[in-house]
Amino acid sequence: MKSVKMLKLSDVNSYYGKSHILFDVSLEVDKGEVVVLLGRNGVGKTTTLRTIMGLVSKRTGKIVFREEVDLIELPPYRIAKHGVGYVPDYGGVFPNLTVEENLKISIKQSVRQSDRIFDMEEIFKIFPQLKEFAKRVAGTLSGGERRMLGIARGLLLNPDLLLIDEPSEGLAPKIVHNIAEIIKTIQEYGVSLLVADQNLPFVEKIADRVYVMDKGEIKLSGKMDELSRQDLERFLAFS
Amino acid sequence: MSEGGAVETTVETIETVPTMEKSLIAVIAVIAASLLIPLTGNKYALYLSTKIWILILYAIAFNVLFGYSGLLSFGHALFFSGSAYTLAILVARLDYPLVVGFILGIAAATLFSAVVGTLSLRHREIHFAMVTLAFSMLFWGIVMKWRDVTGGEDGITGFPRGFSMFWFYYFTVLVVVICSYLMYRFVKSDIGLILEGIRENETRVQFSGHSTLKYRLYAMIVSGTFTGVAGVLWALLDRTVTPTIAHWTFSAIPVIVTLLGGPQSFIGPAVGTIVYVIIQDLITKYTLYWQFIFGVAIVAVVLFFRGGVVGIVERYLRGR
Repeated sequence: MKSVKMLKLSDVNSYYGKSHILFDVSLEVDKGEVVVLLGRNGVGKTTTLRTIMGLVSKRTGKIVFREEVDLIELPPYRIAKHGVGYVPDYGGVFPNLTVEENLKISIKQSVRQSDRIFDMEEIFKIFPQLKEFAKRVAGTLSGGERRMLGIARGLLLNPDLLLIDEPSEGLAPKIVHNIAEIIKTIQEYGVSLLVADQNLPFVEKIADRVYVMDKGEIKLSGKMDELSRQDLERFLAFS
Repeated sequence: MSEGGAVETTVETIETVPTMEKSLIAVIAVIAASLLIPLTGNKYALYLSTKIWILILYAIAFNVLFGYSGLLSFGHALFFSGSAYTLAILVARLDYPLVVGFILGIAAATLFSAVVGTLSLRHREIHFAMVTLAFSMLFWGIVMKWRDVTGGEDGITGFPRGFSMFWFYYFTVLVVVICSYLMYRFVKSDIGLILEGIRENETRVQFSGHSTLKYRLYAMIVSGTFTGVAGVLWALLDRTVTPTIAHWTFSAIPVIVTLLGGPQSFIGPAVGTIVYVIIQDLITKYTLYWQFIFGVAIVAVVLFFRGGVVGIVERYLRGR
């Protein structure tokens, strides 16, 4: 059975002003897959996610979503409406709004009302802590809770694909474990995920496939269980 | 975290509900007390308080854009004077009934804010402020030069108020209270929430699926329209319109009173207006240089009390 290509990047280049950041990046995410972009700080993982989301103004190449639509020319809100959710590093919450308001801001505009899975009720099932803190201002949450809130907000869009930037960064091991569990749960709902991270034990827990990035290029790719740990560590070690 | 307990948050939840109730009671008490002012028979107090009510509407309308959406307009005099002049021209020059002038005056403000918004909202921060300033001064230039229609520096007189000063006061209070309530509902609606999101971080609102430009335009039109309501009331109060209300200094009034009262609170601009008009009235009795003293006070508030007068009161109430 042929599965739908959720996302396909072909020769994507992107630029911040005059500096060239991504060089001919090509990658794919299949339906229901968790794909991880692995690499050190500053190799272009975040830029790749931002480019897909339309947040980098100068970008070229092809970003085909659901084999239907090229996202490369679209503004971020259109990309979100097509069904791409985005969770920036540290969650990207609105610090002066309450947890509930943070969630409400993305609730009203999911595209396919009919096959809508995530509503407030469902979200509070996955993230019970958020229900507890519903009336609290998001700026008072801990790092892990903010990450959860960011993911929850992204899910309320009812995306087909969720992009998550550095979900494990700066968190205690126990909380990193919780986040990994949540990512597996989201996968079970049928949402495809593209995650940027550099915490190898965390990545091993969640990834179906991995793309290793260095200096703005994809250097290595393959199924998580087929890649050797030495190869991966080579790209993560500080040279 | 509930299950892990690994991360303790020490920040305590701020109790907002009791202060909300308290301020609602305070607002109702002030409105009720102000209803007695015409009964005192003091004409000057009546005039001054009518003026305060109109300026309160002007400031709250301005703050829909500034406090809630994070957009500093320096051209609100355009919407204020646009509606006032439309009323004056229609009624005094073209003999339309007052009601028509009132309604079309407000409609003119809506139109102006839609046009200026469309042309200026691609810019942000200081650039947005400068573009709105430019448009409003363009209008001021037209008002000054197009004597046949606008009366130039002399302005337009010779239209009725429709009420005695006594009843006009109650009419003004009614209109201002209704408009303020409508704006309150607007900023507390889902659109208001998106606007607050835009103020905090526009990009995050965009990738949550909203065209932020559209929402900024909504805020501009709501703000401009209610500013227009203040404008027509102002025209009726003096039964005169003059270019003063089109000048940029008139755009500065809501900026100043909002900073003084506190932009983060809905009634902040109203409190700021009351303080502003009363202090201005008091200081001018002693010195012509009231603006100098006022300038120092504004700088002090902005530097040391970011929440304005309302912020100071809130801190005091919470401290007890």
